Order: sequence, then structure tokens, then C-alpha cells
Amino acid sequence: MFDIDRWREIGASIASNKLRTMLSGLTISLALFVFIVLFGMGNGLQNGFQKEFFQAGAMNMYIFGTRTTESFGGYQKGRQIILKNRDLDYITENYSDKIKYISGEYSQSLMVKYGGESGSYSVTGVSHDYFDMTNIRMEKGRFFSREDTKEQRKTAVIGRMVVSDLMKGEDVIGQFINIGSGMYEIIGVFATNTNDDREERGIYVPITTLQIIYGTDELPSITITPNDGMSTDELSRFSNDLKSDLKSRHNISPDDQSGIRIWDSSEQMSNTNAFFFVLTIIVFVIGGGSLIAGVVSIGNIMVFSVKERTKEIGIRKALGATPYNIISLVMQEAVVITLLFGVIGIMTATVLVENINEGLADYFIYNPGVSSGSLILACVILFVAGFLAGFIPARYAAKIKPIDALRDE
Amino acid sequence: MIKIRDLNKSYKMGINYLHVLKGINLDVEEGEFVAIMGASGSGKSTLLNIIGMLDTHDSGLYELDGVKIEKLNEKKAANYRNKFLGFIFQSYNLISFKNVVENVALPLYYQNVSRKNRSKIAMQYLERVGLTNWAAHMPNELSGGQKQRVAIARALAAKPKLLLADEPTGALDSKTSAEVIKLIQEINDEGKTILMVTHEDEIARMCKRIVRLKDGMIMSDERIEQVRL
Repeated sequence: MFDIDRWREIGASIASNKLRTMLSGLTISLALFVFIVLFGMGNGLQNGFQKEFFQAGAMNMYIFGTRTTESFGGYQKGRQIILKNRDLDYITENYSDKIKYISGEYSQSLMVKYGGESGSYSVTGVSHDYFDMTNIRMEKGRFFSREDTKEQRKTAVIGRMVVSDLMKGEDVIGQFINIGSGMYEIIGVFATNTNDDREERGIYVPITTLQIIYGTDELPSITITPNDGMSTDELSRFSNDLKSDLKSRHNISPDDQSGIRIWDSSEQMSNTNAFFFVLTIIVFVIGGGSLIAGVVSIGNIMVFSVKERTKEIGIRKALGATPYNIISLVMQEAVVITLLFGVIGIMTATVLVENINEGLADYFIYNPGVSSGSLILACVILFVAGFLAGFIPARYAAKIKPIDALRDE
Repeated sequence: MIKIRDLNKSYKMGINYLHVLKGINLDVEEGEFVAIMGASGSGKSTLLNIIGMLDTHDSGLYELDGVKIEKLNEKKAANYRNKFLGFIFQSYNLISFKNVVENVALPLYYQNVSRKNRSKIAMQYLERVGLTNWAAHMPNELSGGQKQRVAIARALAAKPKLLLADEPTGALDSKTSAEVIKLIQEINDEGKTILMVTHEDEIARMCKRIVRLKDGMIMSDERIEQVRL
């Protein structure tokens, strides 16, 4: 491999067939270029999907009670199940290893007054974790803290649309707002990442505060953000475990499809995963197809090159070249050409793909890129491709009989 | 050096077999200089190819330097050719994209001699054939006689026991032919065994022994008074 004469011979052979080598080499370059670009774009599309559909909250599970449809444990069917604070405490305690954030939710539509203006808005009690669980961001001020929740403070985080409806653009942080029948200090203004007007016409207050005011320990729904990196299977197992636990806590028949409902994203996730699996297959089929075309092309010039050099190979054999010498000469040439042009294709494609960044964000392609793992894979494929391209011509060359070759004038 | 007994060779031509060599018996001792003569189709080239292990025989015995040559695989044949034999062809068969010294060094490459030693040895043989100044030239810059001298240097470089020449002067004018034959005679004087196929009586008389073939059989085998150049 590191034989300087061998390299010189390969150099001479390529130099004597520059155009042909270039053209065939370009096929390989193009094949790898297509492969890497498609692969990168596939990744970009995946990133785009993740960014668009799997923002904060995309993995969230929502738990709520409904009416039972079977009688069980002495209870009639048709009983409305309502989750309570103790259910939340139970979940927090027993599933702490699977939960990143958890919050109960208690929503009411209330009259809100500020200055001379008033209107009816959806007021939601949530925990301090809620901010990290959804796609809201703070425009001004802050979200409420653990202390706000713990001490049942009357603080409110209001939506951007509430500000524009009621406050005519004033600086409202630190001002007081009348919600229902109590005064709350405005500590922050939020907006949603998607600029959703309906959501921005809402107000968040500490759930503890709201529960105290309404004298209840009920939680119409509980939201859970599962730990990062949970697979679809783990997620649905978690969801099922949780469901059967809550059913037994509320004396619901294990066979009852109603009573406790948990909505999780595992099904959506598995659909998306299946989509990307198919996409990956398509990329490999197209990339693989063009690579095969490239391999055939290189194989083709090698066959030509070997035929042209029949006499030379005969001379070498007469001088004592073994079949192995001849095979390795041809194989090495094929591998060198393939690698050389393949790497050119890989590099140009990588440079292109890595520089797109957010340029194609409009087409759901976000920050496309190729991992070093797939680059290594591409190089391995190249090496194998070079071997395949050289194999048939090399075998042909090895079978050349010196006597026939030398007769070939 | 060479021991051949009842050697037969036929080629398949369509559905017929062409019997090219019909029971050849031949002994060549070390240091001999043998001309193999015959009309075209007499089987002289086939005999040379079998002796040179470029072709295989069908039946009979062929021993080279005490080694029985029979059903060799490609690799073994290559090694024997490399170690035992040097070839000189009518059409020189130099490799066009290698310069003179690289051509001479090629058999040594297949003996795994180091690059440095290869060049050194090749230069010694180029000096022997008087082409030291042409070492860095490409074959197409040489005259026919020079090319054949390079080929001779290449054949000698691997220190073969036996030199096989197939019409070495066939493509040369008479003056250059004489130079080349003179060189071959000198090499023979140094003790190298040489077999040369030729159809020219004049060239054959410059050898020490003439073997005449006709229709695949040896017609005559005589030692002669060598014409020196």
C-alpha cells in the first residue's frame, strides 16, 4: 500500500486516461454528494419537525377524570371522577424518576378589571413549573416562583393580549389587577412562541391561590412533562402504569375505558418516527442507487484500462509478477480513484449542508447536518465500493495469460 | 540445465486438435548457446514458451535445473519465471510509461528488492549494455537497438539461470542486429545459458548449437563452429 512504485504506476495510469478517470470519478463524487445532501436534508427535516411540532410541551401528558362506564367496588356507573391534590402528590412521589415537571391545572372564566376597562378572561391556576412546560415566554417581568405558589400569593402573569385589551400599552409590572373578586399584583407579561391570540388572552395565577379562594382541592387536569429521552415505548408504558394506578385509587374497574383519561404523545411520536424511518430508507435507496451507478462506472473504466494494458500485464507476468501483484495493482487503482473522488463529493456536500443552517427554515428544513458517524459510514461504503469496482477488472487482469498478451501486437 | 523427454503439445482449433509438438527430446547443458530454427508453424515458439513457463505442455517431461515443471499454479510459475528465466522479445516489450532504469529494475521489484538496491543493480546492468547515459530516458526516445539492449539488461537483472530470446533481432537492421548478437555472445561467454529462436541462418550460425524443428519434431541437432563477432 505504501509502495512508492505502486503509487507512481497508479499516477501514470490515471494520467494516461485523465478524461475518462475524471468522468467516472465525477459519478462517484455525485453519488456521495447526493447521498450526503439527502442525508443532511433528512436530518434538517427532522430538526424542522422537532422545532415546529415538538416544542416545549410536545411530550406533555394530560390527565383528567371523566365519567365511569362500569359499576365497580360498590359504586354506580356514570360517576364523575375528579382528580385532587392528593393524586398529584401521589404521582409526584411514585413517579419522580420519570417526571421532569408536573403541574395541576384549574381553569375559570372570570371578570377582569383594570382601570376603567374590564373583560372576561380565562384564568388558569398552575404551578411554578408550568412556565417550563409550555411554549410561553416572558415579554416582561417574571413567571411566579416556588415561593409564590407555596405562600399562595396573589400574583398574576397576564397575556400580551390582555395588556393590549385593558391597559393601552402602559407599563403594568407591579400594578394591581382585579380578577374575580380579588386584587392581584401583575408580576409578568407573557407571549406564546406561536403568537396565539387566544392563549395570550389568558392569565396565569398560582394554583394554590386559586384553590384557596374557591375552597377546593380539586384539579380538573394534571399535566406532566416526562423526562427527556424517553422512548415511545417507555412513554406509553408510563402512561399505562399511571392510568391503572389512578384507576385503583379512585375505585374504577380496571376494564373501564373511561374514568381516567391520559393523553400522551407516544402515538404521534411513533407516527413521526415511522415517517422518518421511511425517509431514511428513501435516502439510502437513492444514495445507494447513485453509488451503484458510480461503482459500475469506475468498474467500467478499470475494465477498459485493464484491456488496454493487457500487453503490459503480460510483460509483468513474464517478468515474474504473481496474480496477487496484478490484482492488488488494479484494486488499489480502483480504490484510490473511488476514495479520491468520493471524498471530494463528501466534502462539498458537507460544506453545503453545514452552511444551510436556517436558510431553508421556510421548508421545514432546519439546521441540516451530518453526524461524523454517518461521514465515517460514507467513507466505509466508499472503500467497499472501490473494492467492488476493482474486483471484476482485477480478476480479469489476473487471468490474462502472458503468452496471449505478448502475442497481442 | 534443461531436460525434455517426449514432450507433446496440441492446441484446440474449433473441434480439431492441432498437434504442435510431437514428442520432443532435448537436453541443454549449462553454458550452452542454442539456436532453435524452423519455418513458421514448426512449433519453435511453442517450445520456447513451454520452456519459459508461459505455456504448459500436455504430456512428457520437462525439468529445468533439476526442478520438474508440471501443473504449476500461477503464483509458482511467476516465481519460477522470476528466479530462473530472463526473456528477450522481438518487440522489446518495454513498459512505455516507465523510464529505462525503471524498466530494467522491474523484475527486481517482483523479487521484493528494496527500491534503492533495485536502482543500483539496474544501473550496473545498464552499464553492462552500455546505456548508462540513457537511464532516465523513456523507451520511445530510444532506437530499436537501444531498446533491445535495455530489454537484455532487464532480462539479466534478475540473474536468471536461463536466457530465452524470441527473434531478438527480428525487428533490427543488420548492423544493429550484429551489435545485439555480439552482446548476447558476450553474455554467453560469461557462462549464461541461452536459448534463441530465430529463422535466420546467419544469426543461428553465431550460436554454438542449432536445433531444427519441422512439423513439431526435431529434424536435426548439431553443434557448430560459432561465428564470432
